[in-house]
Amino acid sequence: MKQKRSSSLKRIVGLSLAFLLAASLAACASNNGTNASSDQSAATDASSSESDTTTSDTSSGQPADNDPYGKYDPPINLSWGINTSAVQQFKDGDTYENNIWTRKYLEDLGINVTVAFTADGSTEAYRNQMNLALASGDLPDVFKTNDYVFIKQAYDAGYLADLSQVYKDYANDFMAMVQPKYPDSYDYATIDGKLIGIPQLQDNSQFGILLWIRDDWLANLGKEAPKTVDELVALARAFTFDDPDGNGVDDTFGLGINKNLVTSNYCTLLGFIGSFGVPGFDHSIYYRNDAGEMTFSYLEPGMKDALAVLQSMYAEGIIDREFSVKDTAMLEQDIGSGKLGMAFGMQWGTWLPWNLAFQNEQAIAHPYPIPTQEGYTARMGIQSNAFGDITMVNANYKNPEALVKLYNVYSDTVNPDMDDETYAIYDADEQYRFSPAVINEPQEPTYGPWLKEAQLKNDASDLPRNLITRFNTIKDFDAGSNTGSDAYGLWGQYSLGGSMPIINDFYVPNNMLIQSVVGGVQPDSLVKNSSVLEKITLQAFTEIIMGADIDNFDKYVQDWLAAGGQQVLEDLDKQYPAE
Amino acid sequence: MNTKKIANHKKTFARQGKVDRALRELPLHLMLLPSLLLVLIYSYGSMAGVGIAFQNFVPTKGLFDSEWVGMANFKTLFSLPDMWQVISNTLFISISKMIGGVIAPVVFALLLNEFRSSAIRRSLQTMVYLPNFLSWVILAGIFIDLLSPSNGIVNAGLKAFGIEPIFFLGDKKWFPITMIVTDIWKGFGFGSVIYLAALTGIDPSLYESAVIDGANRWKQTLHITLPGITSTIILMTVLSMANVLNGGFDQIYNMYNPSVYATGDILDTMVYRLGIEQVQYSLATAAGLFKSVVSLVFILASYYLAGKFAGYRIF
Repeated sequence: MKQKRSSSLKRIVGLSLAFLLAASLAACASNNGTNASSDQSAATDASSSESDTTTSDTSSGQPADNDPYGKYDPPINLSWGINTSAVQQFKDGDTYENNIWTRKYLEDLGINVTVAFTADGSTEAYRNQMNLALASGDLPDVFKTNDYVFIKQAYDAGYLADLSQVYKDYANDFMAMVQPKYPDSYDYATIDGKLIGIPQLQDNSQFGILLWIRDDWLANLGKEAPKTVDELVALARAFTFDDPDGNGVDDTFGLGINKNLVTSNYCTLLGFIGSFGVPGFDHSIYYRNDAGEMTFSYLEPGMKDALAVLQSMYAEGIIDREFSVKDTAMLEQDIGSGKLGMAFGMQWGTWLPWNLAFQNEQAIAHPYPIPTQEGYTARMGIQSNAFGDITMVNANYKNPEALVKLYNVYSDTVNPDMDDETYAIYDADEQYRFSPAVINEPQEPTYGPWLKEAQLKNDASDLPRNLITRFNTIKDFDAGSNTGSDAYGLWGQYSLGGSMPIINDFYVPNNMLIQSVVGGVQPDSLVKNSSVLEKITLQAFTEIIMGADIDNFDKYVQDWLAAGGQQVLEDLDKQYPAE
Repeated sequence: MNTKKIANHKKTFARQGKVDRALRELPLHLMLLPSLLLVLIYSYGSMAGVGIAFQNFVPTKGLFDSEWVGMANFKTLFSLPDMWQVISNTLFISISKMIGGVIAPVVFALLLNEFRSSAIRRSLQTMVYLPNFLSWVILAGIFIDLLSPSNGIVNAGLKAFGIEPIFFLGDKKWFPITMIVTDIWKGFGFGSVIYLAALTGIDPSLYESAVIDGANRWKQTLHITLPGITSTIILMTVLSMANVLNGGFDQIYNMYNPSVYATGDILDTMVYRLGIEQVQYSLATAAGLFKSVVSLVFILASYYLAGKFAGYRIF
């Protein structure tokens, strides 16, 4: 059976290779179709364009030196490894080879964006495809990944172009401005002093956790949102036993938790343990505690107290007895069918999962700050800002500045001040994903304060163009004249009672968000041990919540340290020394 | 003299016959070629990859330039804190599945064989064969619902008999048993098809003479039917021996959860978390190689035993 399985696996790999080949042939063929006339000249020109520009600036058609928008004539090719997603949908018969962005880049810059490969980024497919390309040394001209192991390997193998100089030379005002504004991100994309890619701009304060509760359940029971952990437990009890949905059947749950405990965006333990001063975020938060020692979030003593409370909640039945087999998809069903009315989650909770309750029964959920617990300072963990996608250029590509130019055009096209038509064409409905260059300036931290101020003044005149729409949508939702689920999503984030004001005005100024020290550069011991450490953590916490002796927590700490955790802490202590 | 001549004649005749036969069978041998090539390329060619188990493999450097580290990966593997627990989980689950996977289809095939109506026989056979075609991804979703302690149909049944609901997928004791039973349920239809085919191969005259000798159904089963399919049973058992370290990744990965790690985490799920999620190719290959070596030993041993006790030989 073993042999059978491995051989069938190999056949699958073989088949997919064949598919790949066919796909790339098809891609080539279509390029030849659209571009047959200029292809040959483009190839020869691409190799000579740089020397041309220096020797003959005034020669016809060549981009002038350091012009951020210089157009290539004849056009050059730029192949792109596309990280696809189920949410992106083409309009008007567009394809990856020919869409709004490829047409724009060809027209504005003379850059012909071609498809090296497409692979689904929401599964392992894209990562596997990239690893395959890396192993064979056949990387596209432009590609992006957030996998730092990959980035480091590609850098060590000399596959990455050094963008330091072309970025200085070609960046437009906006791109020049974001570099100092997001220093963590740009440091992350710099190895040995060389800028090896254009980073995703990161401000992780938006990952603070909130407590989401259904308004109608609170109202039905005449309760208030909990301010302390004790009140939270009492509310969970009421939600479980006091028939908050008023249907006369005992079919509701108290606090929603899924089986992965800390790795999901909603129905997570994170906010709850945050009340006990444990700054968790999946399994990745390492930081210096108040004593200046490197530590791992879940080793904090507050964790034990939090688990003790959770254990009693489980025993009482106000946490679903079956949480240990339920993933988030199952909890979405519970929320959608009106069985669950309270859970911790991310600031975009009205987009998912609470939109499900809204769509099914017009139930509104509000976000609240995580409750407090006596003796603890509430804290939440966020990942280091030195993290995220980096868009890189193949070292063999003749025109590395082309990527910077793509970013220039992108930043001029998609930005908060764009008009409705541009927004509809280039940004709306995930259309921005078809550009190899994408700037995702963290919206929530940037827009949140602007929108709040406008709402307080009830005046949108100072807002950038595309925020005016949002401002109006939120006002319409409050007034009851727009009850679309997108309006509900926005409203939950940006209205005065939404999640962003809580994060920006309460979490951030009170230093409740603890940034992990671990950026993209992880010590080997962490890479090596993390699966074992994660297993130990999940197993211990699940067992304790389900009734194991609470003193198992002390054993967990010992086990965790012995299973390589001690080594990880020591390595991190060296790699990220105290300042 | 005469006989010598005839013998010579016979020899050339035989030689001629051999050439003829070879020529006649050549196209048949050629037909074997594509599959032989596939085996050579995909089974033997890629075996060079086992070298990764002895390297500190870095994809960019490839098989030839990665650093050789000897047995270091195996040392790391066996120094993992719960390696031995994972192995014992795997052995318990896989061996139970093997035993159940032999007994269940044999019993079912024998029972089914007692049906007179071939229409009932066939439809039953198809029905039990059906789950074999469903993937564990789908079945896992179904079982999580069916086995739910609060609203699952299985526990509703138990409650009717006054038994406390059992959390089959969340209880450490029950999880491996659930895995074993559901796996046997999914697979026994396939096995029974093979045994039914073997049953039709038994000479009916044996049963006739047994009836004349006064043997009842039970005696017939014991002394004719079972010996008649013994070689098939042995073959199936020998083949399943290779699974001794296969707990069934698809099944367990889709149904396990942290609360049953202690009894439900098997080699394959561990290798998956280690090798695929954490991109440690060398460790994962080392674990795979370890599995293959153990499987090979078991196949050889069981093949030897089958030859010794049942006179069964494949080659």
